[in-house]
Amino acid sequence: MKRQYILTFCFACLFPLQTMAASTLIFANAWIAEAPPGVKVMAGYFDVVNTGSEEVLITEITSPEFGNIEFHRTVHEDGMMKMAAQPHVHVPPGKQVKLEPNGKHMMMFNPVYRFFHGDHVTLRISLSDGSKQTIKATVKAR
Amino acid sequence: MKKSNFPIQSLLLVAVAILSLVLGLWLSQKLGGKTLVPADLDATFLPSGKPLAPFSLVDQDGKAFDVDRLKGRWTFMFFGYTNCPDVCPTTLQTMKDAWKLLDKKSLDKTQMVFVSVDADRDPPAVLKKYVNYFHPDFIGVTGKPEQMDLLTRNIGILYGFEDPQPGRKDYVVNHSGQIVLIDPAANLRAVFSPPHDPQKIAGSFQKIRNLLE
Repeated sequence: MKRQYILTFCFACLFPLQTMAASTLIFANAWIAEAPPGVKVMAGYFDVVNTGSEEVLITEITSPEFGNIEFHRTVHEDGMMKMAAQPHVHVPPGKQVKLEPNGKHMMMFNPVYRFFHGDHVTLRISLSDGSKQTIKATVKAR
Repeated sequence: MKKSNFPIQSLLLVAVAILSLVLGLWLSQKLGGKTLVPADLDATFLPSGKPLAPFSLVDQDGKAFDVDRLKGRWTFMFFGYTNCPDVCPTTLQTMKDAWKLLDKKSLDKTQMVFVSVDADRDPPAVLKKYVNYFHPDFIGVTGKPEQMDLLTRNIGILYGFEDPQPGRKDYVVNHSGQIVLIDPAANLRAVFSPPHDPQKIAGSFQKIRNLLE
């Protein structure tokens, strides 16, 4: 019984650590490229830094303003620019990862309305440690 | 007498040889210079140009867009599709930035053309809104696959459609990232490879024109 208490205490101690792990990812410069009229797929970008000692994956991003969001990477292959779907964005410990034009990006499908330069979009980010973050991305002209 | 003429003949021969050399160098620069490639060009340049074979596409107003629409002006051409979220709008923005760097004299003799290889989703009305967003003078072009292939194969542009994922209507189109430059006689003249830079495009365009005009 005593051993069970000790284990419970240990888990209780670990739980805040897990919450703290979420804060090791710091997002910055989140922006979505303003798109021409009628376009149903937009691209979004951000910088993310992992200040922790463990790799963290960005497993999902959703937005109330978009139907769905996927991670893609533009690759130059076989003489063509291709979109390679990425299940996650890996953020290694102590590193910065940049999502940027002609590289890794969010592919954002079916905006609920047309966005213009200066608008803000909510991004709900799920991480591999089970935590979530909500950030705002600014719509910008390219 | 014979002895005294010898040096004069030799001098004359040397003089003729030097003159020939100078004349040869001058002529090679004057005439042969037309096919030289500028050393610091940020593009692949085709010294002789490659004539474009006939093709028949339509522009954003539903008007015919064929080889005749390329004649008499320089044409920058990029291939993609309007549902392309990253590469196409980024490249069109670069073309717009390069366009802004051209002087008025150049603008009058230049056109920027976005060719959509995705005719099903990009009819002229869709293209019109799309290209107009970047610049009202930009031209949007699309057409039937067999006509599109006449143009793309001719200038070495590749494209291909990926199968839609299960339960999805949207699909991705893979395509070349090059911007091509066609001269006023409808010859493929230069190819700009990604990543694109407006300064380099505008600068190389000026050098090519200086060479050929």
